[in-house]
Amino acid sequence: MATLEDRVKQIEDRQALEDVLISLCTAIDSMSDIDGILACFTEDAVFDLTGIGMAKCEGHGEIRNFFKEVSAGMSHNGHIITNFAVLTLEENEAKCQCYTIGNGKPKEGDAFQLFVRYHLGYVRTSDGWKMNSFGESFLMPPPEGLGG
Amino acid sequence: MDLDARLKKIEDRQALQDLLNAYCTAIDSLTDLDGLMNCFTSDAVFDVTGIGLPRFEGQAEVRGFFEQVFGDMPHHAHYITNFTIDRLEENEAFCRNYAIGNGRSKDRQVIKAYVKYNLHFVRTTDGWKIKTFVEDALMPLPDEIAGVHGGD
Repeated sequence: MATLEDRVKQIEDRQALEDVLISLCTAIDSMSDIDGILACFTEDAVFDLTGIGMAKCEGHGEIRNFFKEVSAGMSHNGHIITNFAVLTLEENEAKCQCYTIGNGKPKEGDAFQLFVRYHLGYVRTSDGWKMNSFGESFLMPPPEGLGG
Repeated sequence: MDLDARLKKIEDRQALQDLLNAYCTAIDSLTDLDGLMNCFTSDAVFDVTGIGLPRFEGQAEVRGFFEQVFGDMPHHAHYITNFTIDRLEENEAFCRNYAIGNGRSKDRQVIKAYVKYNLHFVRTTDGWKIKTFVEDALMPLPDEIAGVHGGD
């Protein structure tokens, strides 16, 4: 039987994991806060968008460059997160998923909407939970011309 | 209320949301019938008359409906929001949520339905399960829904 302390910790961990995800969306949707994006990831994180036909970035340097480039081309971003689920939660690592409606409007071009799932790997660090892996897959087929 | 009971209430709330997420993950997999049926009690009622589809009673009927749906639909995505608990007791709970149900059929008909789920959960020896699932429309439904989900 888990102690009260353990049970509270598990609830706190679940909330903290979701908080990291919301911080990530907030930073991405700001289109300027790249430090805020990187704060969600471990130094060696793998940010893998190959599941939606885009880049795979390894480590803070590559992730920073990716978001610098992507953010420069967008006039609006809105990532709506739902269905957050903790799939496994251990002492120092967790696997989670969520559904996302990714709304975007490039500076040049029409607004688009992507229906995707995030596959999230987290580790507990001395600075709280961070993502060490981020994958993405389509739930619904992408609009023509997007998604590789 | 003592600390243990307060904590149990939070854990139950999370477990109910987990179950709803597991339901969505299973219906959106379009393959995991066992995972889907694991969300329901053996005598569950799945009532989608509110969106122009039939009412099903018991695991066999519910499974039969989803077998047909999984066979017809190559894409599903059920986005869940506005989860709320109307009543939570020792062994049963009444909850609601909103859902944006996206789908695309084999013949490429695209559906988007804004709906509400009315859920009656019961606690079993195998955790919380859905005993009654009733779906209503929040917004007018697309005509295609009956066509791709075998409605009348």
